[in-house]
Amino acid sequence: MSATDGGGTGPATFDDDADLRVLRGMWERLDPPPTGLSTRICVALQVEELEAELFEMDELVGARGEERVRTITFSSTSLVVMITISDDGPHARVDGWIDEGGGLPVELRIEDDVHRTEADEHGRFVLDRLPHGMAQLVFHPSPARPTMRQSVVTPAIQI
Amino acid sequence: MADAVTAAGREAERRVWTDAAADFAAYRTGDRDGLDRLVHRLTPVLWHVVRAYGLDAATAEDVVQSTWLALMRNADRVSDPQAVGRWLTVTARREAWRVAKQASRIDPADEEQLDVRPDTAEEPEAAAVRQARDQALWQAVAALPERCQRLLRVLAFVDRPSYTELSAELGMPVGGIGPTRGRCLDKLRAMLAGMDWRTA
Repeated sequence: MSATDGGGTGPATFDDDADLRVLRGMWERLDPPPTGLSTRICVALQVEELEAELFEMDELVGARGEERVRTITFSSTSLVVMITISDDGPHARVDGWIDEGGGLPVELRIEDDVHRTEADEHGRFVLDRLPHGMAQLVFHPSPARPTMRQSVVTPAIQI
Repeated sequence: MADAVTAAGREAERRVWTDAAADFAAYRTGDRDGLDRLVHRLTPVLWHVVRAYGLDAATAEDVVQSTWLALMRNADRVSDPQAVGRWLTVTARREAWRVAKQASRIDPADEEQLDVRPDTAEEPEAAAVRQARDQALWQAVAALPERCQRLLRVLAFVDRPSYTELSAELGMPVGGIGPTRGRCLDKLRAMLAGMDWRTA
């Protein structure tokens, strides 16, 4: 029931809940949460949870032929990682290199999925057939890298 | 038909809270993704609750984030997963209220930031009509007393909020909240009289 007037004589009655719902719609449209807020919060929680360190990030955007290629360097006190993000048909592909990262496990979280691989002996890794979306890379301490004492997480990036 | 639409809306709102309880229960039993799902589900609600206190966007974002960090640190103390929605909204309101009182970080530029965000999935004409309606509604709300603005925005997003705390924040007895809500809505309706503001 929305606005109903009581047969023309009585006072008008209103459905407060329905009107609050109209207000809710207005606020949802005119003052929505900032883009990416939920994802940023997930990253913050993960950093807190792993007692992890957050990488510093440095991004370069270039072109290879027709294709747009982004190279991002992540650095932390214990690790330097460089990745190149490119399009692979409908998918995204990440080619990466970890400084002295031979054998290190690599975890990429995208939306609700986790993709895992391991760096080869030269520290290179490839993650392909990835969906597009907001992603973060996570590196956990591993016997392959005894100097690394805590997990390191990248900020969320669009791939 | 309007009744059916309203009922569906009400049902969807209720489902958010039951889904949130399920996410949290999953997280508590070791499904880490449950927490991310919960964050995506309830962050928009927390955003609106926090913005009800007139905080600027950057401060509101900080308050929402610290609410989630508090949940993670205190997850064991939320005994009943069903209560997680209430725990989060009460924590967010408490923190927003504390920050708002401490520094008056009310954003004076708010009204001018409005006219962006086009709605993509809509016919341009319908979108224009709706935008005009939203703007009129926004301005009418902005002309209400501050405590009306806060009360209405919290009530619009939170299913049965804690009246005890609302009463402390608004400086009125618990028994006064129901009638105040009615008076605030009446003022709004009076301002919008003659305008077809309810059609979505």
